[in-house]
Amino acid sequence: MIEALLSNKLALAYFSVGPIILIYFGIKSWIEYRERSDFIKSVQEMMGTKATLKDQIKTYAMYFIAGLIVLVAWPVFVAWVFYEKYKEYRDMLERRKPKFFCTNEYLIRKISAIKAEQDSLVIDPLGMAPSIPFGHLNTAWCEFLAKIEEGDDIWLYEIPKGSITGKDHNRATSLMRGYAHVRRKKIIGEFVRQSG
Amino acid sequence: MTAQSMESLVFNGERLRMCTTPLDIYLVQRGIRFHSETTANWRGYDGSWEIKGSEELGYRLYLVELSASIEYKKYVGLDYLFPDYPNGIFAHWFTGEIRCPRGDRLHYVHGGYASIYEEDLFLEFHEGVLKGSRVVKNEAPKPIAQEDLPWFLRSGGKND
Repeated sequence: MIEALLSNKLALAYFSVGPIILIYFGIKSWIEYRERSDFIKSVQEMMGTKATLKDQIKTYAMYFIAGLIVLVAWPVFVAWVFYEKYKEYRDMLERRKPKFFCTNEYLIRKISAIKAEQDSLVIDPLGMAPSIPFGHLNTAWCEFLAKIEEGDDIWLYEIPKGSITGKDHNRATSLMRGYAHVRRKKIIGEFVRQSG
Repeated sequence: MTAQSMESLVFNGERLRMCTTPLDIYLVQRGIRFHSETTANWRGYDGSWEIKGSEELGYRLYLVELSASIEYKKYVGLDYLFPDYPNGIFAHWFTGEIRCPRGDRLHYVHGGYASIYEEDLFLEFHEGVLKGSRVVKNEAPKPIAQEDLPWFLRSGGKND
């Protein structure tokens, strides 16, 4: 049978990839073992009991069977490695997404910075807020404006109470109003003027 | 999550506790996070609020005191956030309801502000100005009958 396999170039090519995959997984596992955190090492040391002969045989048998499976069905493992890498990349992109309350469906209309400021003058009879646009939030508003570039738009938005919104899909506990920084139809910044 | 400590609110001479944290949205806007020293206060600060005003001018929500932790055992006050307003600030950004529980606690829930008290006073604000209030009377939730639980959650005792 082995002679027949060796004479078949396609089968030879197929089965020669298996050992490479096996070596890859072996090195990866070894690196992961070496790079364990001190905490994991200390827990393992604390819990570690001497392995019996039966345990050792079981472990080596498991490695042997796993190795055989990789040798024969290596395309499955290659696909699995690619899928894992894709998942890591997708999760990384998701984590890097900025966290905004507003999404496109809550945008109402474009508004100029001047009009937004005219609409937002704060006056407190007890003098406990600066009488300027957005009062105590004026610094945050200026930081928001500083990021606006030519071609960008400011949109007024309003999120009704109870709406499921934002990156974490939380329910808005109150009406939320503010301004969104929109670039090429995408929200890239947000200023919350009022919320609960 | 542990039940969270409540901030205080003085309204009509009555000292209330609040199950709402009106300062949060300001802190989010400014990108400020305080240091939490206990699981009972993940936000890392404690505020004292007051509703001040008159029939003519309207009643408004003010933050009058703050104790916030910027690192372990290092606390700052209102002047840290609002150096020009150390005696209090108008919370003009706050729109929504503040829930103030009153009376005895009927049911404890080990998380957030989910515990149930005899009654809740809800104060409705629009841009920091009081617009209305309502009181909701509560009852302790009835214990769930064994037969209403899925089989794997039922207790096995014969007397249950």
